[in-house]
Amino acid sequence: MTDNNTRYTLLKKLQNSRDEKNWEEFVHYYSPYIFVIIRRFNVGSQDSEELMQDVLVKIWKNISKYDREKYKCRFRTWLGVMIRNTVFNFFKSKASRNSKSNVNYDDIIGKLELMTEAEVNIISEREWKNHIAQLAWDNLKNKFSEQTQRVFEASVKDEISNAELANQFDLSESSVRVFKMRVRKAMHKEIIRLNSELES
Amino acid sequence: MREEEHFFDDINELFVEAFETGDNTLINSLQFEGDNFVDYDAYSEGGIKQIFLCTDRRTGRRVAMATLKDISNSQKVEAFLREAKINAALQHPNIVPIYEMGIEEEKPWFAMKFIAGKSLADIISETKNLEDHNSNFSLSHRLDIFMKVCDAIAYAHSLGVLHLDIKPDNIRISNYGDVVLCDWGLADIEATSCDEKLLEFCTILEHDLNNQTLDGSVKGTPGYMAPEQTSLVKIRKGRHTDIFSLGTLLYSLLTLDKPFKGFDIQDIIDTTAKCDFIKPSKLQTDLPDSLEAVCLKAMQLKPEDRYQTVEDLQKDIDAYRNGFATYAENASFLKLLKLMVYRHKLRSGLVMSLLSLMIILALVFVHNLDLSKQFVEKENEKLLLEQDLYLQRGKDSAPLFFERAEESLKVFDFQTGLRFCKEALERDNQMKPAWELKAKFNFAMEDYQECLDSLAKAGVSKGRLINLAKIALLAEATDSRQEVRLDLLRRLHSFKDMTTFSLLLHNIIYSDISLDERLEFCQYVIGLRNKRTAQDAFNFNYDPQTQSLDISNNPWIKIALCLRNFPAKKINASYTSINHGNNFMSHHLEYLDISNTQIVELKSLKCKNLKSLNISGNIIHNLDPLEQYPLISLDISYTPIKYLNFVPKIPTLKQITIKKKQFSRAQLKWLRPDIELIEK
Repeated sequence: MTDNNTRYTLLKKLQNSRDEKNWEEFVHYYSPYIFVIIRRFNVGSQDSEELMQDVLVKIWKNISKYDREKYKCRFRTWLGVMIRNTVFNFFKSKASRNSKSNVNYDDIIGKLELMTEAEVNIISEREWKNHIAQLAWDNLKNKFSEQTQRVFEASVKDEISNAELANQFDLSESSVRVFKMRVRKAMHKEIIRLNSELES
Repeated sequence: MREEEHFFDDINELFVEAFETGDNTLINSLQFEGDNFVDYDAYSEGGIKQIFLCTDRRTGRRVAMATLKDISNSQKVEAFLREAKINAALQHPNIVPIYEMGIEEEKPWFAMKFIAGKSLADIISETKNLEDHNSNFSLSHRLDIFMKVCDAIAYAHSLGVLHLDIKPDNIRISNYGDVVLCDWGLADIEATSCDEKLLEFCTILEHDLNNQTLDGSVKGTPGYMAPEQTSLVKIRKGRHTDIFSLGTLLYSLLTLDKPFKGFDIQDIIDTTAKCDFIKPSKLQTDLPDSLEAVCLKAMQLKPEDRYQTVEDLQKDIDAYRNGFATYAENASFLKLLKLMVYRHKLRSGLVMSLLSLMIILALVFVHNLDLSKQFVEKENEKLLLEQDLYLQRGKDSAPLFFERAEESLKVFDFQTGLRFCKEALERDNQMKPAWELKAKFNFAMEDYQECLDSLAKAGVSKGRLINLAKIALLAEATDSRQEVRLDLLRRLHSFKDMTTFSLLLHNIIYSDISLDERLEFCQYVIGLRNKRTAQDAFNFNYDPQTQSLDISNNPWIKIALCLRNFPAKKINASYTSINHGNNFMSHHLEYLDISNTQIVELKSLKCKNLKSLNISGNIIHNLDPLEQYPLISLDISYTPIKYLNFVPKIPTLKQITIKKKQFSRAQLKWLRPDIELIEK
C-alpha cells in the first residue's frame, strides 16, 4: 500500500531480519490464511495441518527470495501458487508410496493439475479478504459491548433485516442500526489498516 | 484440530466495502475510477427522450438523466442539446435545474435534479377520482402551484425564452412544496428580447418554422396548446402563446379537466384553432367568477385580447386572493362594494349602521371613481409606452444579426449570411444597410431579381450593381448560364470591382458546374484576370483520365484563384508567376507541382489531402506548414532549405528529392531508413 515507504510491512521486516519475534507475528497472522487455502484444495484437516507446517518451512527458507518487483505479483499470489505446488507434491509422493491403497489422492492431484494460476488467484484473493475481515473482527471485538458483538455477528451471518434483529435482541430498530453502523465504520478502518500492514 | 470455521463464512463483502465506501476520508470519495454516474434505473420514456434515475458518485445523490433515443439524426442531436443549453441558462427555483451535460459514446445526455413526487397531471387525475375535490387539493393550494408556474414563466420571458409546452404533465410537484417546470424541448428564443448569449439558439431552422417537431408531429400538446400553435391559425408565436397555455393550466386546475377535447387529435386541433371550449363555470358550479374571468382572459383567441404579460395575469390572481376585483372581470360597482364589505367586515358593519355616513361614502365613491379613471388612463399610457418599447427592442436586436451577416460575407459563407440578413430585416425592415447587404448576397448567389428587389428596399435607385443585375436578368432569358457568368465577370473586371468579382467567382466555382463548363470557365477567367495578350501562349490541358491539370510554362499567370475547388488530383503549375498558395485550395488535390513559381511561403497552401509536392526552385525557407499534410513525396531541390530537421515531423514521408550537396552529412542523419533520397 501507499505507506510502504514510511513503515515497514510485516513482510519487509521479516525479509530484513529473520528474528524470532517477527516470525512469530508472521505465523500468527498468516497461518489461518494458509490453512484455509490448503483446505480449499479439498485436503482433509489432518493432512492440512501437516501441509501447513511444510508451507511455513518453505516460507521461512524462501522469504528472502520473494521480490515483489521481480515476480510482479502480490505476496499472497506468490503464496497461493506455492501452496498449490506444495499440496500437489505432497500428494504425488503419497500416491506413489501407496499407490494401490488410495484413489482419493489421484482425484486431488487431477484437480490440482487442471487448476490454472488464475483460479488459484481467485481463491487466494477471496480468502484473503475473508481472512483480513476476520482478523479485523478478532482485533476489534472486545472493544464493543457483548450485545453489540452479538448483533453484528448475527447481522453478518444471515440476510436479516434490522427489524428482525431488533426483535431478536429486544432492541429498538434504530439502536440496531446505530450498532451496525458503528461496527461497520470501525471494521472498515481496521480492514484498511491490516491490509496495508500485511500486504506487500 | 485447528479452528477453521470462522464465525461467518463469507465476509469479504466487508473488505470490499471498506475500500469502496470511502467513508474513511471524504477526499477519497472524489477519487475513483470509472463512470461518474452509476446504478441506472429506467424512469420514463417519451417520443424523443428517455429518462433514467442514476446516482452521481461524486455527490452521492440521485439525479435524473435524460438521453436521446435516436442519435442517427444529427438535427435531433442538435435539438436535444439545444434544449439542455436553454434549460441550463434558466436559474429559477421553479425551473428544473440542469446539473451537467455531455456526450458518451456519441450519445448526448444531460443530468438534472430529480424531483421526488408526482406530476401535476397525476395529482389532477387522482383528485378527480375523489369525492371531495377540495379536501386535499384546496383551491388555495392550486393557486399556489399556479402562481409558482407563473413565476417560472415570467422569469423565462424576462430572458426571452418561451416554453411553448406548458401543461400539467410538465410540472412536477414534490412532497415538500417544490413546484418545478420541466421539459424545455419545445422552448424557443425571442430574438427581439433575449439575452445575447441565447441568441445562438434562435430558431432559424426550416423545420421550426412550420410548427412541427422533427418527427413531423404537431409542436405542442393538443389539449393545452394555443390556437397559434396549430397550423390553422397564422399568428406568430410569442409570450402570448405561453400566456394562453397558462390559461389552459389554470382551467385544468379549476375544473380538473382539459379545456380542449375531441374524438381524435385533428378534432382537438380544430377546437383549439377555434378556441372553442366549455366555460369553466359550467363544469364547476361553485367557481368564483373572478377566477373564471382570469382564465377566460388568458385564453382569448386573439393575442392582443389576452394578458400582455405574465405579471399582469399574476396581479389579477393576487387581486382575487386579496379580495379585490380582478381586472379581467370588469367588475360592477355592486361587486366592488360587495368585495369591499367582505374585506372589511367590521368596518362596513359600522358604516351600515351609521346611515348618516352614507352620503360621505357616496362622495368618497365618486372621488374614487375619478381616481380609478385616472388610474385607467395612466395604465393605458403605460401600456402604449410598453408597446413602443417592445418594438424598439425588436429593432435593437437587428444590428446584432446584421453584424453576423457581415461576418459571414467576409468568410464567403453566403447561406448563413443571407439567413442572418433576413433575421435582421425581420426585426427591422427599414434597415437600409441590411437590405444592401442582402442585395450583395443575392447578387453573389446569382439571384438577380431578388437582388434588384433588395436594392429597391434599400432605396438604391442607380449604381453598378443595379445595372449589372438588370443586364444579367435580361441576358438570362436568352444566353446560357456560362455566357451570363463570363459576361458579368468581364464587366466587373473592367470596372475593377474586385470585391464583387471575387464574391461571384467564389459562388460559381463552389456551385454545381460540369467539368466542361469549369474548364472553359477557368481558362477564360485566368486569361481575363492576368490580362493575357494575344502573343501570350496559353498551355491549359486537362486529362480526365489521370485527373491532372497542366498550366505549366505560362509565365504570365500570376493569379489563378478560379482553380480553387478544381476537381483535379494533380496540378502542374510550374514555371508560372503564381505567388500565393491559396490559388490551389482544394480537397481533391493530391499532387502539386509549383516548382519555379513566385510562391515564397507554404502557409497559404490549403490542400488537406496533399501527398506529393514539388517546390523546386522557389525561395521557400519554412516547411513547418507541411506538418499537417499526409505528404509522401517532396522535392526541395534548388531551394534555400539547409536543414532536414523537419523530416521527423512528417511521418508519412517516403521520398525526398534534393540537389547534390544541398545538405551537410550531419543533416542527412535526420532521414529515416525507409526514406528514399533522390539527388539531382
